Amino acid sequence: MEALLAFYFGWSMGARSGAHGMEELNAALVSLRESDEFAGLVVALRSHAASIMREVAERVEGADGAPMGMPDVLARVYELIRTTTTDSA
Amino acid sequence: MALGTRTANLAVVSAESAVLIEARSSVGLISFGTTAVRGEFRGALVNGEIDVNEPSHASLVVPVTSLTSGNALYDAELHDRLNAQRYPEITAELRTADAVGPGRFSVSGDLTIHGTTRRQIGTLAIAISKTAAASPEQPGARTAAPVVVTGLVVVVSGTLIVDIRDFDIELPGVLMLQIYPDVTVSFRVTAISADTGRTDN
Repeated sequence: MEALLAFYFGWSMGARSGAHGMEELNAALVSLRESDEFAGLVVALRSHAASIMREVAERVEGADGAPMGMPDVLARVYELIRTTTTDSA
Repeated sequence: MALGTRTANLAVVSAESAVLIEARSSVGLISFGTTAVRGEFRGALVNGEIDVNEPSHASLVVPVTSLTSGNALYDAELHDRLNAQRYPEITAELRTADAVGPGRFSVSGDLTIHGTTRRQIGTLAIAISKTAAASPEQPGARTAAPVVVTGLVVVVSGTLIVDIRDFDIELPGVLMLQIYPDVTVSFRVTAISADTGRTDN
């Protein structure tokens, strides 16, 4: 919270220093947003988020590929379909 | 009709039949399944094999609201996208069948989902045997226990890739979850008949 307040006061003081200072700040932010480093950061964050979602999905699905806590109907469906697969293998 | 040919009339046994729909999503596989499969088969058998040269009929019906994933939110979304109130059933009708190997057939049929019918082509595995099996449930039967009969047992299985956009279905979406349009439909259908088929010797 203190850091946010400090940032706010710093921003206000910088803004009061004149329009020129603000323009420099905006230009710096735009160049940062368009930089390769920023694009790389976004890609890394998206990749990390996707990895987390995949891991969550695997944990929810369980080791045998059948969703944990699935109702009896779906359990029976998996059983029948797997029996078929085993028979035809 | 050739020698050794018999006519088979079979009814689907729901308790031994299943349809599994697996859809890929941004968070992994989502599966919907049902055992509430109805249907029938009428055709000719020669020496225990289906005679594809004789006219045959096969149909399957799956009630849309019977499809469940175990997640009420997903189920509601699927039933809504398939407009279960207006189109309560998914149906499949066999049109052609050609033997491609022992117990394997290349088939085409009309699949109707969401009131839209599209011709599908695939391969089926069919196993025919004579054994004891539970008869299909009879409406109004006095006893809940299944009646065991000795007859013909036919197990049909296969897998089909379906693009749900072909059936005028909007891609389901729950919150930020993205569903991909190609879904895998796996099925196993068991049908039986009492041994009443006509035998021409």
